[in-house]
Amino acid sequence: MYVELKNISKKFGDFKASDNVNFKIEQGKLIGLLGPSGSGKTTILRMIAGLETPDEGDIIINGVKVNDIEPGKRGIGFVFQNYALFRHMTVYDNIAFGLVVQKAKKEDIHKKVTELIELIGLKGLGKRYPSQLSGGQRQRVAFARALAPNPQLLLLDEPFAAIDAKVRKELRRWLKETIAKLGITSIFVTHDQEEAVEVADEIIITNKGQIEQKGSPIEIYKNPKTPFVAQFIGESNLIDDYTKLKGFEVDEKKKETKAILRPEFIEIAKNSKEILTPLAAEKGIVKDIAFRGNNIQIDVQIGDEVLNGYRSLEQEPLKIGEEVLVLIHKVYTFNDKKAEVLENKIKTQEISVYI
Amino acid sequence: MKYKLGKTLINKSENKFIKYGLIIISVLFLILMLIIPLISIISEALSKGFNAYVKAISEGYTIKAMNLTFITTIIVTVMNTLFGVCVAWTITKYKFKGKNLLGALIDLPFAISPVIAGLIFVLTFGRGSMFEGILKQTDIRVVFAIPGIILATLFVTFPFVAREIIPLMNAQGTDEEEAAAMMGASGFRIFRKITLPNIKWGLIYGVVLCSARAMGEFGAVSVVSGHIRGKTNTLPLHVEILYNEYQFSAAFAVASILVIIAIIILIIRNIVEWKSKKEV
Repeated sequence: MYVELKNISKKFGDFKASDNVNFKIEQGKLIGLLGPSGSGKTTILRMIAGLETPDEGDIIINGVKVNDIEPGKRGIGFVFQNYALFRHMTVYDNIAFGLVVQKAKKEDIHKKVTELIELIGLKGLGKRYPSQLSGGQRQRVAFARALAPNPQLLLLDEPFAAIDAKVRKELRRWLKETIAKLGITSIFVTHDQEEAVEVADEIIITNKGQIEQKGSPIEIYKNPKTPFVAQFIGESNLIDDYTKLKGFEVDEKKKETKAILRPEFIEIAKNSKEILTPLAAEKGIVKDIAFRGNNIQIDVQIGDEVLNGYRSLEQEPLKIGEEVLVLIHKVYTFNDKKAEVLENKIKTQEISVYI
Repeated sequence: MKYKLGKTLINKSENKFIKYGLIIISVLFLILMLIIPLISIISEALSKGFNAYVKAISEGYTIKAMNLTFITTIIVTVMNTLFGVCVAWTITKYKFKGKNLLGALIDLPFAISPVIAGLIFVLTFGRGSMFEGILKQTDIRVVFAIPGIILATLFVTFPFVAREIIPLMNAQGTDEEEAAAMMGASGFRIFRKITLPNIKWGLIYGVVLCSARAMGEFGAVSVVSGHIRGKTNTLPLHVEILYNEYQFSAAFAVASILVIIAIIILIIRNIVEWKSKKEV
């Protein structure tokens, strides 16, 4: 294990920013710390960096307990949310700063900085000041500056938050590729799940100062372990009583258990020809139709619940008020304690009959 | 949108009327309150001819008062710059209890009348004070001596530097300093390479204001100085003494020195302001 947090707790006044946080990170991985704002993700990052001190617990980097080691001696590169570029220094001087502090040789500094400016695609802009750069360019400079002293660990605080949507996507891909190329262990903080899923090898989900779940994006998506994760990740329809849905009836209703239905768990069919297992499907009425570019979002009413699902553009169009068949493949059920995945019983039976 | 609304609400002729009206009022006020008094000072100073003017400002006591004023100003400005930077740093870069109280205390000299500031030092270091014994033993004179003048001026001009750079440092936050610390820079290097260049113009502006005020301080200094000619007389006090002795042209001549210095400071101030704006 490369980075390890053991029983970390941190309070700001009465506010518990970190509440007994434990996790381990392998070397070379790109980790996304994902959570809503105020969930303590930035605090975790700043404690690893040494910019905050935990009240309790140990932080171990590469086998060494770093609690009492100064930020500058932990071998960490940090990219700040607003980049924190030195505004009165040129791009070149910004990137060179860490090396100058380390008293590296002038030729070595020049070589490294030139190399990094090339890496971030800002060749020829070394003499510019931060105020003369675009948001995306500043972000790259901040990234290069953090990398210059050859850190063993790279921390990024909301690296894409201040960049407009179009540049963000491009920059995300660039960052992921570059980090993979350099092979440096990295942790980035984000509140944007799309970003976390796209960039990270592994996601750690935080909520109220605690770690909810850690795993690969697919694992977290397919198998949410806590009610919070089930609701936080992906788009979801919240259903109070899932036992009314066809295929999910139970003999004994578990009280207090709700369910989450992702749009992609729902198949909406014009008629029985469109579905493999029409018997497992439920009847519903189309309430609303919205064109969403690459697909069509359908709001469909089943009993008291309105669910939303998608249909592809190639499928036969539906009209509002039309009766359709709705097949619910699975739901995430959860109560205070746990979350689990339930499959449509009728559908599974039917398929086994076919086989 | 709001801007447009405002424009349509006040129609154009009314708008012009208000604009020129306000300009005329401001200019008249400035002429009455500043230009006329300044001209009268210069003309009074030169009323007995240029030779009398030169004689008045090169007279022994005047030169001594000038020296004392400059020495006081330099010491006070240097010390207040150091204090101001320390306090601003403490308030903006750290979190601690009583921070707001400290911020309010910095402004105290603005709120207290300078005469009372002078009295405070007379009561603290003068006869019957708690320090009297120590001061007598060590043979240090504070009240009615130069240290008293410096202390009183320090007190009165304390807020200038700190007040000028605190908002600046607050706005800039601690990100850049943290970034430098992450790369292993020492505290002193961070201050020299990151903080100082960022607050440079605000700091110079504060220093200029501080020195201007230190040079012209009258009330507080008047109480602690004791008006000993050639020893504890600063320029403003010297003007008052000459005036009270009915040496009007000499009094105005000495006053004109202060006016000229004030104008020079004003020009420096404007250059600083212009430069700092250009850099942003």
